[in-house]
Amino acid sequence: MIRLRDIEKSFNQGASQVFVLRRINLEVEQGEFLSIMGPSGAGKSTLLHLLGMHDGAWTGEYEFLGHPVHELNNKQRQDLQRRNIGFVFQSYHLLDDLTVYENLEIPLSYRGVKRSERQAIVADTLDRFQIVGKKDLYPNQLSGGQQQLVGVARALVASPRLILADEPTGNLHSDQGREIMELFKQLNEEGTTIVQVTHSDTNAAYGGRILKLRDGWIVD
Amino acid sequence: MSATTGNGPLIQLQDLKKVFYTDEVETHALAGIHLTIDRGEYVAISGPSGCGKSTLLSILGLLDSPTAGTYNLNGQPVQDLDLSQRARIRNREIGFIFQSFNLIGDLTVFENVELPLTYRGMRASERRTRVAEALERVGMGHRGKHLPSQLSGGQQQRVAVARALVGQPSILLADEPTGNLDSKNGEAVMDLLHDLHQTGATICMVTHDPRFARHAERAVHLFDGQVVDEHTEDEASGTA
Amino acid sequence: MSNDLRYAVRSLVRQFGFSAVVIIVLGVGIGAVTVMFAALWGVALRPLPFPEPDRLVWVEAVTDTGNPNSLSALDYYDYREGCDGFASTATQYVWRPGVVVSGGEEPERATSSIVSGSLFETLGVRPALGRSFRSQEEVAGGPSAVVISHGFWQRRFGGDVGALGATVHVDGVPTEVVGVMPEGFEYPGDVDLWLPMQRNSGAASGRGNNNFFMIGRLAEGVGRDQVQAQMDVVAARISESFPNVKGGWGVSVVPLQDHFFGDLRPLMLTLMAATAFLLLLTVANVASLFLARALSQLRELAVRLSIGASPWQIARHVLVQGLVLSGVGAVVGIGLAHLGVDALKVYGPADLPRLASIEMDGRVLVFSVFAAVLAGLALGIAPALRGRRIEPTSALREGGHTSQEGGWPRLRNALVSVQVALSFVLLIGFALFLRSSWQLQQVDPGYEPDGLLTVDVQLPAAVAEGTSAPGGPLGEVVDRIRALPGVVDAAGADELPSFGGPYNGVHRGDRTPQTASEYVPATRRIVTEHFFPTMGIRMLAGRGFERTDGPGSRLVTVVSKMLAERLYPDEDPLERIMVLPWGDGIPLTIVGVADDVRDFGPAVEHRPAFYLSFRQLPSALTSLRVAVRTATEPTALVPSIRTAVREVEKDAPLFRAGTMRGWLSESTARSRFTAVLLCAFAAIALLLSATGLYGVTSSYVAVSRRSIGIRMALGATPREALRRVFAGAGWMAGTGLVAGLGASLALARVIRGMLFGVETSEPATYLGVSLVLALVVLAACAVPAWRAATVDPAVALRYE
Repeated sequence: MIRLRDIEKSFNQGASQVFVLRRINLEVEQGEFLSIMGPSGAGKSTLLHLLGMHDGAWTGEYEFLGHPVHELNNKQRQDLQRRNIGFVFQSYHLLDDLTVYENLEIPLSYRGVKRSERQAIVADTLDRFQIVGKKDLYPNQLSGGQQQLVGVARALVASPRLILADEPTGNLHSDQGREIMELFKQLNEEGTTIVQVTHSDTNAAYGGRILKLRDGWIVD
Repeated sequence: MSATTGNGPLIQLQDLKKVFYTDEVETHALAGIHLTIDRGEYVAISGPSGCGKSTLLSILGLLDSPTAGTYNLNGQPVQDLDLSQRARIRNREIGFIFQSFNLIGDLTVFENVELPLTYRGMRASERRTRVAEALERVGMGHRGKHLPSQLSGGQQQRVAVARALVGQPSILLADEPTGNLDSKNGEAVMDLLHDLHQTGATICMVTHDPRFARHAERAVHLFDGQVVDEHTEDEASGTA
Repeated sequence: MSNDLRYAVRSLVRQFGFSAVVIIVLGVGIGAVTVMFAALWGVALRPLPFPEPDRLVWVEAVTDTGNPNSLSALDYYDYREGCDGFASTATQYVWRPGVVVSGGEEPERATSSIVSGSLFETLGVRPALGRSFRSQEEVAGGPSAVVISHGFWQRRFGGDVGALGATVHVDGVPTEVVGVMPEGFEYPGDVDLWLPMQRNSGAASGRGNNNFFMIGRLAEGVGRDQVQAQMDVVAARISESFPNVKGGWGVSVVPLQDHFFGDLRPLMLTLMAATAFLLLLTVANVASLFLARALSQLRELAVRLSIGASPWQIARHVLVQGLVLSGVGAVVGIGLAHLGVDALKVYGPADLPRLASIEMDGRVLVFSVFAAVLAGLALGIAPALRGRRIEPTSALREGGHTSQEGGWPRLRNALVSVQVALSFVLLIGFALFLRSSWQLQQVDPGYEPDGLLTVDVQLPAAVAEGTSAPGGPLGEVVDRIRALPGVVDAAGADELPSFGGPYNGVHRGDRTPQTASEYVPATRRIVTEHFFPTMGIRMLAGRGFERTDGPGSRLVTVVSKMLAERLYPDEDPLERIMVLPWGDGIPLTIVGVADDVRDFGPAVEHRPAFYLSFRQLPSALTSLRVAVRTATEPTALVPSIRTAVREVEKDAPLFRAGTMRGWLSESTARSRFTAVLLCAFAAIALLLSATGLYGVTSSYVAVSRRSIGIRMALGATPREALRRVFAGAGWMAGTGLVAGLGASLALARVIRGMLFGVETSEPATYLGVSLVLALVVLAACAVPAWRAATVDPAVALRYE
């Protein structure tokens, strides 16, 4: 599904060049559950955002579902991202002025899904995550774990093939964290590819493969 | 390292008390601290959270005044100084290293390290020399033009150390310097501090982790605002 | 799209404080600009209410010195003959004499206009009832006819159709009502009735009796330039043929609209510009707040981007919020505008034509909406553009202390500078107009206006002619008034100083003038005895008029100082002769020289003038403006004056009682009004700039608390923190000041023509305004500066 070849990310400061990612070569199959680990500053988040096409300033080749991302323009990348990728953040990043229902609805409306369809999909998602009762609440009325749950639900609502998660349990208690990881495992078993960045070995254990980064290099 | 004037301890605290008044509640953060730090010593102050470590460090760093007691720095009583006098002494005698680095995001590495010197009214050329030296000392000489956002946590902390050093202060005060770093970078910073100590720096570090306290020569334990234990590392390793 | 709308409304309602402030501020700006547009349109730009008004032109003569002037009837006929570009032409008498209408009811005074019968046709408006004048009626000695206005018709005849054909007595002459004009027809102003110009009357004879104006309607497809060219040819011919009275004179053809409202345009446009600046200021002020809010929502925009929004959708999201705010602001603004228009009608300068009929019609509402849309877009454009360029990575990175503000503080600072600059301009405008008003008030009119009451007395013409007393009963009226208790002195004139007057071209009597320039145009004033002492006009030589200057004795005149210098430059003018070119020329002996008086109001410089004794006129005056110098409060004497007049002639109406000081201040009303308006704008501007500066500085301090704490920990003193805040504010204000200075200097030159006695580039004005602004800036950032200085580093650093 994903193929990275010689991906490098750096920026210039004066005379010198600072590398954040160096010669990353990576292949991820569909249905995999990959964990990216490493010390802080190793470039894990950068790699994740790059995979999620949030970042366009890199060199190398990135093939996603057979599409050569490195050759696409902004609009095409965005399209690709919209249709296939869902992102889960460490601090949930829900929209505070929208209810749970609306938070779930927004990705669909950005993708031009018709109103009646949107309603159906959101209703389904609420059901699946068992948060129907909370659909009219605002994020600040939910606990951290519940917010992250909504965050995951939001990432899923457009049925992406790939979920990218950046320290999804970083701000949660261990119980809540476990819930989320169980959910991920279940999603993965149902066919969604998952790539997560994590500090915790426990979390990494839920996945299949572990990738270690250090100072921008893949190490092992 | 610093301009030593006279002998005697660098820092002497006698019966230091600090009380906070918030919402009709009196909090006795420090309940009578006696502490002496000699020149060239490496002291670690540890204790559980809420024991008053940070308050003690604030007072040592002249960021705060004690409610009672005396604080002698370099033989001078400094507990009753006014704001600008304290600022002056802070600028010349104290180098701070914070847990969250506290670099100023809008300034380059060079400008951050330069800051204490600009408050001293030093000439630009002299500042340049000193900053370059300090950065070299911590191994960040090549990143002078970068912004803090372009550095990793460990690198930012090293810049912070350079900033603390650049004015050749009498003492370095470090508040949980490795708190926001992973173990590798944390080790690197502790090594740096160790190096500095070897070359004569006086260091007082606050930490909650007893492992880091082992890097120091002397460990002081606080509990509920009082010193409950003090031992040198030799003794500690001896008893181990 | 509806999502964006719903979200915009909801999030703005949640941040009620912010939204309320923005809406009110925008409302004020949009409201002000709406009112001003309504005024600009209603007073100056609205086309005259006649069919195809752009084809109507005004014709006036241009003297050899380049001044506009009226024409003589003979000129009118020549122009009419010599120019084929007109579909029709008409002429009107320069003055609008008051006449007394009697017969049937109470005698009343009415304003009349003497016009040729073709007037209504030229303007394109037919009488609602009846007809215009026939040619027989336009001849002296022919049947007397009158056309009345709708208002007069309602008042006098109760709107009865039977008015047509009825007879009224106009100045004692039985006249048939032949037509009634439709409602709203007001030409050349608020006139009650129209009388036919009589081609063989005295007023219409004589090439030098310039008693008429001319209007015309251009024929189809004919341009004004063509007509102007043809008229120039005719004018040249007239000038050649009559070098004495018309040598070197030309003619000018201007659109009728321009003639009536042209001089108002600079004023109205200035006011419009000032209001536009105010709107700009409110937008800049609000945009700063809006930016700050958008900044705090940066994270949210990044999240939206990451969950699939396209940059356009992000931009739209932000723009909609801006438009919602400005939309509600527009509603508030339109409400305020209604109040503003009403206030304008009440407090606006009385001499602004058509002010009473300005309204908030469809056009004004469209303009308002337009302004609101522009404002909304301007509000949202910067954050929208910025939002498009968000890098989700940096915005969403965990624990990033990056200064994502990047260009935003710079933009907010720029907005503050813009506000300061605009405030500067408005303050300068206010200062200039204030000084101009002040200077106008200070002008010495040449007489003593305080303690002077004026009253108009009118006699029916038949009565006036029927008396034998020289000067007629009006002289007696004045005598009686003078005898009243509380009256120091009283005198009368056909028109009082400051109100203008007709003029004649006079020349010295000892030689025949060879060139047109030897005729000195002088304002003519017919006065009673006691005129000069009553008015408080200084006599510089000789004497005023006495009772002995009667019909039998030699004809005398008093000339103004300026006239004396023009006629007899280095000689003593007393006992010399001045010739009035009526008929074969009437020689007058100069018996006195009076000080110069500003005959046409405080803003117009002195012109030569001469005075005649009313007893020496060939025919008696029918109306008189009486000036009464009182010992006590002037208006208290009106009842006793009325009684005194009634004793002489029971049918004589009394009009226009008022104090001289009151009339004078009306003439400066426009200048004062502008000053007051600009004062209000400047005050709002200062308030907004101050709050804008406060807001930006405040949020800078709040955001920089940690940074300030760090610096203090490194040895910075509180003074250093103060210095930084003031330096930042000073920079913003300084750039604004400089920009404002440049703009003011440029704009001041444009309004120079509207100012009186003020040099637009006087340093004192700019210095003063700069000082005021500096004080405001200081006050605005005092509190944030103090907060910065009192940051406790221990506290600031504790919150990590």
